[in-house]
Amino acid sequence: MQKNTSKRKFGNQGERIAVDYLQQNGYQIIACNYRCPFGEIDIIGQQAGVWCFIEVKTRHTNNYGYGYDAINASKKKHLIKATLHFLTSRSLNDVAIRFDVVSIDYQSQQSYQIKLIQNAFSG
Amino acid sequence: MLAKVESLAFAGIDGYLVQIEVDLGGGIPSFEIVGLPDLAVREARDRVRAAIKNSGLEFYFHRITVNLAPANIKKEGSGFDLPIALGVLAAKGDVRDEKIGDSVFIGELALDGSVRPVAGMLVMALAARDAGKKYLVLPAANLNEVLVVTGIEPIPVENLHQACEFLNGNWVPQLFDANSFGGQVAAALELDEDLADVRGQEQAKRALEVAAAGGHNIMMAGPPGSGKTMLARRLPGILPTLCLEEAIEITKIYSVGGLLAPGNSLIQKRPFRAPHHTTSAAGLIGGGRIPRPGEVSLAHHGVLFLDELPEFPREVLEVLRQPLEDGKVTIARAASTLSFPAHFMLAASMNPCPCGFLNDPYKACSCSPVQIQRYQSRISGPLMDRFDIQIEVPRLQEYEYDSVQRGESSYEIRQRVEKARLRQRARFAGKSYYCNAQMSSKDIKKYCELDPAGRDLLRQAVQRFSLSARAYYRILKVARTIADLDESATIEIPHLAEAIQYRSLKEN
Repeated sequence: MQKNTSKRKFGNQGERIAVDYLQQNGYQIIACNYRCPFGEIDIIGQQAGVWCFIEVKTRHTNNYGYGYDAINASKKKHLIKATLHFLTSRSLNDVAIRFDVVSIDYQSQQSYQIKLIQNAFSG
Repeated sequence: MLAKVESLAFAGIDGYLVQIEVDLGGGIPSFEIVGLPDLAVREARDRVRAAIKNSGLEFYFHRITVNLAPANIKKEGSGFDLPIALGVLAAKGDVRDEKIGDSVFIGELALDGSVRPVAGMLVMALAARDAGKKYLVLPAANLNEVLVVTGIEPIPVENLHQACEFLNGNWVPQLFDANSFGGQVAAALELDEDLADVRGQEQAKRALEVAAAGGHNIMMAGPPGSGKTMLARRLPGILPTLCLEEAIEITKIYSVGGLLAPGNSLIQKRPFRAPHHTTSAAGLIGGGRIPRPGEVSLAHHGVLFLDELPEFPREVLEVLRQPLEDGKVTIARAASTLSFPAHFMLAASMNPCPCGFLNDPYKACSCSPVQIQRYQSRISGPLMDRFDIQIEVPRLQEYEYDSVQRGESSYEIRQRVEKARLRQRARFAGKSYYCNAQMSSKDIKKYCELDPAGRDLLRQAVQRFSLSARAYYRILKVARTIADLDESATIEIPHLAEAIQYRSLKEN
């Protein structure tokens, strides 16, 4: 169980914003918060036949960099492992795959900036 | 989604084709290059990714595997960027593939998609031509290098977009006339260094002429400032003008060494290489993990000048023996064993003693006999023997350098040299060599007959100067050259006498 529920809430709020945003941009959402022993994938979707594995990063302030700056090597490793787990469990072989990042950065309580980076990294 | 593109690489001075297979598959996106790529080749993936993106094309969500065949040869350099990028685009279906089979591609990509030049273009173009390819897609900056190659159409591209347009048939490049460059060799030969600039030293000039006419190695000994270096620098100018084959051979060596000046298509002057005496053995004969041509190869068909010969470390000088005998060097390294041509005239200069004034009529030598002996013994007998012509270049007298009278120009001397070379070519037609200096001992017996008086003279000289068997044969070769300059079919006494005189350096 998550210790800090306020942080958790904030993250979930960001993910909801991201899902809306992605749907507006032609993504079909397959799953949210896909969990496996290797890690969690925030959103799994499909766009134009490509499987998209989407990491959402939400930030209160930009004092510590933007959301998308927080995707580092170990985060990538977890995401790739979790993705492989998802693909194997669904017997999806040889499909086109993409890793996207949605970065939501609050400028104040209400206003935020949303940024979608497609094909953010590769294995 | 598989595409095959062909590219080029080179080993030594020979190019070869490299097959590049690009496979796009599903799964976690990645970009792998296999087939023994070195670091520069592996880094191609980042350049290719950025170049494709910045050329306004899409690049994403694939598992890309690039294979470079033959897979057992180490691939180096950045020339595979362009073919890899085009392979990726062809596999995606962004470029049409009708022309890909007839073409070879080479070029380094910048991140903005522009194509940068690569080294070794000439040898690779020759390999592509010999493989029967129709188009050579190459960096526009390398175009001049390949214009001498007939039988393949060069497609110079400025950027990746242009290469795509060519494959898609949207852009037809202008045709380049390869033959217009062949004529350049004979026409262009302006000398900035003329033998007429050297005052006096008529004997030395004569010796240079003989050396040039027969391709003989020459050693000049004399006090500092007597003009040895000046004379040597003018040696290439009196050698015969290059023929197209020779020019291409030289250019190939410079091309793989990456030493061609941009815009230079063909080297038209005989090279003159004067490495400093601190040059290492590897620098002289070539070396490196993947061997590169050394000074002896860069002096191919030209002159290798070793100024202050005794200053060179002995082991550096001894490595010269193989190229001097065989006209090529074979360099073995862990990565590969390569042969480079190294057919050069060796010219060298030395002082007679450390202070330089031994035997000087006006200035006393300040060296001790031990010093002199040590200095002269730095050059081994076998190496000294290989200088067919050994002359003294004395200090000029005041009235000589005041004289306004100009000597013969390099052009006039070259005319005579070329005539003598023609006689030699006719004599050696069908043999693997073309000048007197390269004659085998069997052929010396055949072509260098002496009359009884000549034999007698030579016997006396051998006894008097205690000459080696090699020296004996070399005198005959030089005598043959002097006779050729004289347009004489037989070697006469004056020819022989002059040749003997060119051997007597050590005895003075």
